[in-house]
Amino acid sequence: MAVPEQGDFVLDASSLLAYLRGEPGGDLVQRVFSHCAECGYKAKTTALVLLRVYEQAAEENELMMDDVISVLEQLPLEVVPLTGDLAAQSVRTSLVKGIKDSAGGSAAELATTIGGTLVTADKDMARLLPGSLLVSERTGRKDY
Amino acid sequence: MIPAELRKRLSLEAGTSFRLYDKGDKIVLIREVKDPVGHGLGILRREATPLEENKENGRA
Repeated sequence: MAVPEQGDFVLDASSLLAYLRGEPGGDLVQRVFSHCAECGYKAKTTALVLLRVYEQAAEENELMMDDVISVLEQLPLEVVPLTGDLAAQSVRTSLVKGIKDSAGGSAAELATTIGGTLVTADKDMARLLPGSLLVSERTGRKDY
Repeated sequence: MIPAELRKRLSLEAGTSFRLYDKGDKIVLIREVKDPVGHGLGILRREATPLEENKENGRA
């Protein structure tokens, strides 16, 4: 699967976790980061997505948390703060598109707002947001 | 100032950059990696390494 050459990328929790776990599709997320680094711009995610990623990462490997936080801070990744306005728009987007988790809703809202490409490892999310870059075939959101 | 013995053991050179984390009653320094994009892939599947191995992995 090719990485689109231009435009903003918005990463959701499933894609970030696929990358951090080294799961299928994680290599494509790595290519997205490499592409951003080469081009001098940053992929985007939301603070709420990052919180979900940290929570899940701590549950899976607490001893590596400092390293995970450190490496995420060094990646070409801009974390968009969760403002009251983004929270309100996120829940509206979730309702309209049928997205059941708030972090996913915030990523979808951000992608929609900036006209970016949502990068996801969640097949359901990709179906709900046409034009997304699906990096693997995971279904369901309980464990991302 | 990091003691010379520790700098030598961890192969720390002048200009090495660190991330600094406040852990309440202690401070954690993690060496910045040269290739964060490559380093991050699969990091959750790795085990925290003993001190003597950290210098190979960019961890202080």
